[in-house]
Amino acid sequence: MSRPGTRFQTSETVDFVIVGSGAAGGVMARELSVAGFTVVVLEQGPRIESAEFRHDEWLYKYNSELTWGARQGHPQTFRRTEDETAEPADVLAYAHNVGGSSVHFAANFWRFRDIDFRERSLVGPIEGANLADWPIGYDDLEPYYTRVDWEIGVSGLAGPWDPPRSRDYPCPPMPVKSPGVLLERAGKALGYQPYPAPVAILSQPHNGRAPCYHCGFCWGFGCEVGAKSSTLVAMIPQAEATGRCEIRTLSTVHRVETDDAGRATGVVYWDGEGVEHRQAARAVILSANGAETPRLLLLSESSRFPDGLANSSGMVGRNLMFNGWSWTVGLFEHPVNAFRSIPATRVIHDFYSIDPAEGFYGGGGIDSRCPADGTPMNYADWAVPLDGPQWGREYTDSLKEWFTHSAAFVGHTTSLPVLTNSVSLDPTVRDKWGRPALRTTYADHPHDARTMEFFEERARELMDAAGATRVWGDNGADWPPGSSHLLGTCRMGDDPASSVVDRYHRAHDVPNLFICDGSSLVTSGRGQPTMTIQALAFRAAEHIGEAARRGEV
Amino acid sequence: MSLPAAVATWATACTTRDEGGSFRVLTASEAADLEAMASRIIAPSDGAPGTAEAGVVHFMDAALDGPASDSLEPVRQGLEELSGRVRTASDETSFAALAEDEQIALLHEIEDTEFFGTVRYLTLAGMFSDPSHGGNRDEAGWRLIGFDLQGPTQPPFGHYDADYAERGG
Repeated sequence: MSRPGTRFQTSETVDFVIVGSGAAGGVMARELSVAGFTVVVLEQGPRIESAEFRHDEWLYKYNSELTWGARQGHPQTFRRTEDETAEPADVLAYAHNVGGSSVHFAANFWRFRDIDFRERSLVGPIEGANLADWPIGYDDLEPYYTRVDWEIGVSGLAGPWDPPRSRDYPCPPMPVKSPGVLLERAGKALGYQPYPAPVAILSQPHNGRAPCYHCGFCWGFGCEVGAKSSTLVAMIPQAEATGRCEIRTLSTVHRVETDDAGRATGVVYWDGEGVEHRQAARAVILSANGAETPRLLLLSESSRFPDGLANSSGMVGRNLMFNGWSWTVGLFEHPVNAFRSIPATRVIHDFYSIDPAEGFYGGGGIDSRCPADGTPMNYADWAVPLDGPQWGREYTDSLKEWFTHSAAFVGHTTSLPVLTNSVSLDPTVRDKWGRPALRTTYADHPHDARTMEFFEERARELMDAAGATRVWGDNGADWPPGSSHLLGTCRMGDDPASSVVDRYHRAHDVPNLFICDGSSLVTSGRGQPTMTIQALAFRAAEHIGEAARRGEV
Repeated sequence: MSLPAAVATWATACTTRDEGGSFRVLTASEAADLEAMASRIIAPSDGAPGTAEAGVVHFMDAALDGPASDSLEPVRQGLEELSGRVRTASDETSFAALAEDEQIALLHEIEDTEFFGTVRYLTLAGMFSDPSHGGNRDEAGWRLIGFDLQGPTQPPFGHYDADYAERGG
């Protein structure tokens, strides 16, 4: 797919090759090219510009137009424990397009807080969990959260509930929707402190981009006006404007090459026609997400790195975290019309850390949402009470009643790192390129399951306080796992024996290999990881650029 | 009637005429049975346009020849088995020929099967997905449930935020 702009020859050794153009890769590309380096970004998917996105639920939600699945030649497998044989199942969801999942995500941008970086110290060991402190803290990351606010574009309202911030939000909160009003009023009645949900969606013009016009096709869709702050609109154009960055699409990287000295020399990839190429680079950056990054490292094994590249710790692919969830849907007397505008407008964080007296560790937030992503088919599929009829006259009547008159309160929760929860290479199933399929091994830690149940209970209380006439709900502990939050699989740490990258995202084992995406996270946070992934990317790019200038890459 | 409107009306009329009994992959009897199933799955009690008016079976035909092609054989087999049940339980030979209450009773017998799940899924998709895929004609599905959103809109979005704006909190 040819676009005008900077082109590099594959034989030309560029400063950086970046694998992935998503939440982290897009930031890396912009930061390093603006800093004066030459950059080639290799993206598996196509480039879809804002104006090309459609309001097409069948295409995007049900036929994996952006996320791809077995039908597009990318099967996955799943098992609960390591002694089971994995069966085909789509578990890990991520978009294949320029901008990655920052294009179709729900755009909730909660900063992590101090405790998220120091849970091991503050909480102590938890049986069955591989909990560790981060090598950095909130203070280290705060300046970069602020850069995300301003340079990516976030709407919100600073207040006493926020972690300390050095600068106000660039855009005021999005207009509150009826589910948000219901959550705010119920929360206040119960003594909580609801506040406007911070989102990476523009409430007013910012950085030359237009604000949201509330079309409703938001969660799971690309934004047609570029108001959602994906890297596709917020970062990539600025990277390309430097004349030093090429975004090369339909390029599937399958190997990081290393030389006899154990240094990365570039990457090998297939183009859209399946022709193999090699892009040489002085340093390699992996921002392919918490599933594809570990797969690529495992595929890059060699006699020098027999267990996979950068895997002397054995931690590549391990400690997979998803974030837990609960869903509670309530029926109200008057029209709610939750399907309009953006997914979430109010959030309650009074359970950021659950009282230890409950007997388990966890925490999270509850936000107001549209049931079933707000789109009609998805709603009809599962948002009328699941314990009632799912077809027939009564079902049709409930669908008519609930669609316009319901709101969802959704719990987003911690996921503890567990050593045996992992992504790995399936021994038998292969993708269309012949690569081993991604195999997920995952079972919720018992505390995660308790946490999800706790959040469903709180959300039901909030529904009652909001005046819902009927309520139904469920939580992730009862469902097969699956997530777009792919976290922890190349964790950051000071000790090369127990982590994959150092505090500046340099692989412990390979001096010119950097890894920055969801895989870097040591803990899961409270359910909205993308902002932290991007703050890490801004910080990593700064340090990588400085190291390169010092000749230390 | 303006010229564009007249052209659109003519185009619709032609499409409808061309479709008369012709499907890409479904036989006429398969289509009739699927249409009957869809009409029992989404069944407006107030006489509002339903799956037949929305052209759900035409969506199904296109989907089974496209993104849902993996389901074509299982659906075919499921319809075959359904016809077997019809013949066992009645003098009729097709599901579509049964009376409505007989259809409902039969569907309750198979509602936990994968076949029923697939037909339900295709019914919902044909009723509620974008009309460009052949179903949801005249946005009949969207109008049935009150989904009226296709472009820019502005607050207030619902009763409670209108009230919030009025009261200032």
